[in-house]
Amino acid sequence: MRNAWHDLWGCARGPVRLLAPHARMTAGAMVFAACMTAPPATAPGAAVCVAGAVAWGIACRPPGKVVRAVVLAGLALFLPYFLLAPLIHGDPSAATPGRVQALAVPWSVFLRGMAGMFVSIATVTTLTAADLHEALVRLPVPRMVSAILVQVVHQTGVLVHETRQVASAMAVRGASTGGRTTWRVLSSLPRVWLPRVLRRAERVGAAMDLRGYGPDAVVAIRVRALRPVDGLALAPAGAWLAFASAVRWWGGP
Amino acid sequence: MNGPVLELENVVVRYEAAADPAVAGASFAIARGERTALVGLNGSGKTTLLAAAVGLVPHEGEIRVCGTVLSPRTASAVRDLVGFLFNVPEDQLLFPRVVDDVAFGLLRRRVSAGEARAKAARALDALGVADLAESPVHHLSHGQKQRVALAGALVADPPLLLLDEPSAGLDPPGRRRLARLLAGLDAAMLVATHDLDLAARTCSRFILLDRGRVAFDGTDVARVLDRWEMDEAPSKRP
Repeated sequence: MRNAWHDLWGCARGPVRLLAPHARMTAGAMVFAACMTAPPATAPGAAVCVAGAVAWGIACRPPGKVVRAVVLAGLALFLPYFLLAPLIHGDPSAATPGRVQALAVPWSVFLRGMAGMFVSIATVTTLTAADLHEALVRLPVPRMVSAILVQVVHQTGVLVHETRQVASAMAVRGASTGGRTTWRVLSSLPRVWLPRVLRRAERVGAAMDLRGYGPDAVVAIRVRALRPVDGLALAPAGAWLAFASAVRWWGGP
Repeated sequence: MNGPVLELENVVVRYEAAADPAVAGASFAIARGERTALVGLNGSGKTTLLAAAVGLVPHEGEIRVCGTVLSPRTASAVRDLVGFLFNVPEDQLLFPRVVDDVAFGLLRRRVSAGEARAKAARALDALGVADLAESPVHHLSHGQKQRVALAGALVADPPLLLLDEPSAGLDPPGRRRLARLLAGLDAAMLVATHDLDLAARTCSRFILLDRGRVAFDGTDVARVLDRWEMDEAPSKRP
C-alpha cells in the first residue's frame, strides 16, 4: 500500500538526514521561522528569506519532482494574490510610489508562502513517519498533539490509498474517458467514497479503542540523543533565525 | 484461574437500522487453551460477536472474560486480557514502523522500552517476520501485515485471542503457515472464519452461527459441512 503520500516522507537524500530526527525538525522549524520573520518587502529581508530556503533545500536535497511540484503548487496558490494589487491603495504621503506599495503586499504573501511551503516540504522529505514519531517524543510537544499528529500522517496515507482505489475503479470501468459517464460517476462519488472512508475511520477508531491508543501512546522504543553533529546543524539554523530577526528589527516591517 | 476464559450467556446484539438482531441469544464458553472456530455464512454475526466480546458494540446478556463481567467500566481491563485481530489488518496497525506497532501493547502497560523492544522482536521472530522490524508498515504485503498485526496481538501474551477472518487474503502457503502458527499457540482462541480448512487444522471445536444463533456447537467439522450444505440446498433447486 505505497502511494505518493508515503513516498514523500523520508525521500530526501541530503546530509540533513544524518541528524537526529528532532534536530531535523528543530532546524527546519528555525529556517521556517527565519523565512517568516525576515521582512520580504525589503531587499535584505527578501535575500534572507530566499537564501534560507535555498540553503535548506540544498542541505535536505529533496527529489527534483518534489521541488517541481512544490514550486508549481506555490505558484498556483500565491501568484493570484498579485491580481489584488490594483485594488490596494497605498499611502499617498509615503515616499514610495503607490503602485510599489500595492505590490508589496502580494509580494510578501508570495515570498513568505513559497519559502514557507518549500522549507516545510523539504523538512518533511528528511523525515520518515517513524522519524516524525521519534522526533515528537523528544520535543516538548503536548502528548495529545503528538498522538494526533502521528495518526494524521499515518492515516492520510490510508485515505490517499482509498481514494486511489476509487480512481482506479473509475479508470478500469471507463469513467475517466470524459462525457456524461464521468459526470454521473463523479456525482455518485460522495455516496461511494465518503461511506467507504467513514467505514474505514470507524474500524480504525475501534482498533484504537481496543489497543488503548491515546496521549500515552506516543512513547518511542528508540530515541536518538543529540550528538555534536546535530549541534553543528542547529547552530547555523539558529544563527540564521537571529540574523533574520536582526534584519527585521533594523530593516523594515 | 481455572474457569473459562470467555463466557457468553444469552448475548444479543442489535443494530439500530436492522429489524433482526445481529446476534440473537448466543451462549457458550471457551476453556483456557481451547481453540474454537466460529463459522457461518456472511452476515451470520461472527464479526459482531467478536466485537461484542471486547465491548466494541453494545450487547444484552452477559459476557465474562477471565471471570470479569464486561461492562463499559471494565472494558479497558477486559481488553488487556484479549489479543484481537481485525479482518483488515492495516486497520489496526497504528504506527509507521513495525517494531513500534508491535511494542505498543507493552509500552502501554508501562513495560520499559528495552524490554518492550526485546519482546516485540521475539514475537516477530515467532511469526517469521523478524527481518521486518524496522520496515515501514505501508511497505508490507497483506500477509506480512497480517503477521505483524498478529504479533501485536500476541506480544502481551494474552490468555484469549479473538481472530476475525485471519486467513482472508492470504495465499495457500500463507494459510498453511498461519494454521501451523495458530496450532502452536497456548492461548485460548475464538477464530471467526469461512475457511473450514484453516478451522479444521487449527481448532478442536466448531461453533456454527446461523442468523445470529448458535446452530451447532461440537467437535465434528463434518457436521458443520453438512449443515452448510443443507443451507445451500434450497438455492440449488431449479
